Amino acid sequence: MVGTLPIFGISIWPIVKIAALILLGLYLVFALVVVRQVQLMTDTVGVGFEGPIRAFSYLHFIFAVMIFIAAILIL
Amino acid sequence: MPDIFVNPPTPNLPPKPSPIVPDASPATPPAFRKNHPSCFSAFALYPDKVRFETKEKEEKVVLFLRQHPLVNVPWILLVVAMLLAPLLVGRLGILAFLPHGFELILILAWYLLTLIIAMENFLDWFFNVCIVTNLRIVDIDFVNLIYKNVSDANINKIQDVSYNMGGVIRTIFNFGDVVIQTAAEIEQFEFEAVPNPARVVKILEDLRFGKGERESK
Repeated sequence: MVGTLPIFGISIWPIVKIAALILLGLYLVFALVVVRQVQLMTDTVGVGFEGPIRAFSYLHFIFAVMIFIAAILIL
Repeated sequence: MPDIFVNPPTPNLPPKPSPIVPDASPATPPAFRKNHPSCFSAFALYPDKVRFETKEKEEKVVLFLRQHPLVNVPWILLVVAMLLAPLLVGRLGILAFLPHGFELILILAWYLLTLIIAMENFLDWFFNVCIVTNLRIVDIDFVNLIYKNVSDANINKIQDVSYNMGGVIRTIFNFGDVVIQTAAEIEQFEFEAVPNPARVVKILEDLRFGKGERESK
């Protein structure tokens, strides 16, 4: 059977799922750091394009949350 | 005794008009002009919308610089390749051994990775800027997402300004590194890959000597 370790006779997919969730969870933290850093950057320098950049960092964070939830539901 | 030599009488000519000298000091206009450059501009003279954290009230931004847009080409190509990669992988059936859900999440995670690479590189280019004001030069560097370095030096501390422009691409598209030696705490500022480095040097020289004259008076 594909995905079954031959020695122990157990499926590797639950392990892969846990690993994927841990990685995506870490990525969520990283996405939060990105949001915070974008705020710091826009506070440091402003050229009139701060709004869209901040919005984009929030969208990135939302995208990361959605993938995390999708991973919980689908895997 | 008769005079041996007598100057002929000079005719009453109108005064010669002085030759027209082109304005060689763009950095010191009588009044600060305001320009409306694009917020993605890499070389903006007298930009009106630029502000920075340590800007003082009376301080006017003379020049706003960031790296030439061409430095973004490598990561843009990488991002395009990463965007197309799942299509290629799907056609070749490399991920066919994965269960359906895993394949979907893997592709979504791949696009997330692509997005963050694009974002990081864009932010790196967009926010690593050099600002020249009428009082000082400011170099703002975000080395990565968690490290910020802001250094500045007064215009009158500038000792030497030079630039180098090597390589085919830089020569064709006229961008290079401007190196500023100062007597301030930070001895050297380097504006990397900025457009029109010769003009940047000229503007800095104008500001420097203009400042020196005002101080000596």
